Amino acid sequence: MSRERVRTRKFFLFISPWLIGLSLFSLAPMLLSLLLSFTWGTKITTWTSKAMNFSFRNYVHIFTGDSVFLRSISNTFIYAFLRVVVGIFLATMLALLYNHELKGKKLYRTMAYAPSLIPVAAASSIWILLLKGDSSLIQRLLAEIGVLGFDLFSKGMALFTVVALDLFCSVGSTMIVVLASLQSVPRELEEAAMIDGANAFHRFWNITVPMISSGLMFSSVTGFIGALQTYAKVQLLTGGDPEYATITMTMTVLSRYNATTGNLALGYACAEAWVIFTIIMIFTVIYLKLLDRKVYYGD
Amino acid sequence: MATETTFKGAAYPVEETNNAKTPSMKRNTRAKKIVGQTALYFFTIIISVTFFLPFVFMVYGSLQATSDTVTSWPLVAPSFRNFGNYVKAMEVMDFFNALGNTLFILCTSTVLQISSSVLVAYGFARFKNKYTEPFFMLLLSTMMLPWIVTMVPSYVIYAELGFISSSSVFVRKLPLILPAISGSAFNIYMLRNYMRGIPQAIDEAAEIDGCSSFGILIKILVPNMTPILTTMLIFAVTGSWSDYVGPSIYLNDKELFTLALSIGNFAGSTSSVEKQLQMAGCTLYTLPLLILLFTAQKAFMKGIVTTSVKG
Repeated sequence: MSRERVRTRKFFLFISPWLIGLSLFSLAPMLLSLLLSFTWGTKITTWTSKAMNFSFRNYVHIFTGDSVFLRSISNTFIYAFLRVVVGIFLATMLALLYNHELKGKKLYRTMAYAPSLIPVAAASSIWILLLKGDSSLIQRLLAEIGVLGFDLFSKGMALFTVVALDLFCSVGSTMIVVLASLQSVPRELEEAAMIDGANAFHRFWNITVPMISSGLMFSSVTGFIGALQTYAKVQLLTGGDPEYATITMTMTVLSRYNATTGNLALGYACAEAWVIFTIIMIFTVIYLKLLDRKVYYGD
Repeated sequence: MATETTFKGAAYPVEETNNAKTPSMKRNTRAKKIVGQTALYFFTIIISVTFFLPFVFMVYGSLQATSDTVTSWPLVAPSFRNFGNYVKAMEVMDFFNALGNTLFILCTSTVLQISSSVLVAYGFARFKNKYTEPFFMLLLSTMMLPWIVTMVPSYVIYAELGFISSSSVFVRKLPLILPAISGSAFNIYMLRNYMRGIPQAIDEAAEIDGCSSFGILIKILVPNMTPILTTMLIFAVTGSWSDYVGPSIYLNDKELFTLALSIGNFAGSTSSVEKQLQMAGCTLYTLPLLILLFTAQKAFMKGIVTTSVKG
């Protein structure tokens, strides 16, 4: 056997765990899900009996008769947009503050990062006791000072509250990323601008921002894609209430499965998942293309 | 505010060395500097403490005597006499069983995921051929794959194969462990880049000495990758410890609950469990992660930066 063929064989041998895993746990389920999305099946066994009854009615129904799903799309985009834009803004402001040479700066940074480590199940319990419902700490406090009828989880506020709580937990980790890229900005550039008489804001806007843009871009892309798939945080905090004001795309899909009855609107759930898949792919590509033009990668 | 002070803090000697200054002006700038420093410390500490408040509230709540005082205003001083809350919380949430389930899934899936990632990354880094490039592109594109597309059909497949109704506790946990065999696309990507930074001449020398390909990986490359492997280990462990979605779909029996599920079940909006016990449970669940964070601060800070550079 030639050396080349040995290399190829070894290549496939070493990547085989991934190839096997990918085919069994990603590609096969995806293919099945694509097929099922054109059926009305509720369980895989019923699918075999009424097998070939393919139609587009799931997809038609999603866009014409399913106001909850459409609502979830708009909710998710509001959520993801705010989370990324406000998140990056706050993280940058924080990074500028935390970038100073202070005693104990490592401790401060770790403290700012700490909330992102609270597991979602625990975080939601904390937030609920603090902020949600009549017996929460904030309601008791407000009642004490005479403010009544203010509810962070009301129909109009709930989505923004959810974003704010998510940001509280995640902004520290975005800040660490921004800090790292801030430290890679060459000092000479700022020095030169300073001599040229640029003020602090101009130096920040015209030098720091372009130079840290690659770091910001990566965290914004991953943050955006991640936020479009948010599930547990919102599910545990609000369950989509009130009146679907906080339901997200992934929550609608998983709500097709009724845990108590074991009933599963399988075909429909798969169709919804594929709509989400398409939306996420389109936005990932657009987002990457848009940002690609404006970003400095250090060369 | 922040932008202004930043550049004062990072000030270069330009202004100060610039031409002569009267002594009074010098005193003035020094006074300004002290005020600026104080303000900086003030804001930084206030903000850092704010970020830490959820932890403070959790512990505060867990040491209350009654459910009502956890969220009452004005605040009620917590007391260590209520430490028994932790013992009670452990009973209510069946702590040790949940801990056992969590650790079992955590250990098996982490070991499987990381070893697979290392093997696959080795294939991509060292055995270049005409298939390497297309398969690598496939690997990168799977990083963008939304989990929701595979979640529903995977559940159905496991259900039809009898995993979910199986009488064996081990088999019922398998849906959360088996997928780790494909490794993590992102970890593979990072490890492959890392391995490419290790000179291939070392491998070749070992090969001439009669070392097998697998031997090169284990004896030469892996020992050189401890920093990145530590980071991956930390993130895999925290990820698995906190995972809620996976267990909530596959483990629908109290006996199989992980810590995330038992917390999610006994705390939360519909819970009837006393609030001080909820907070004690949350503290027990969160504390190990916090300890890990403070003992491995450096690895965490590095890891956050490298893991955010997904391309």
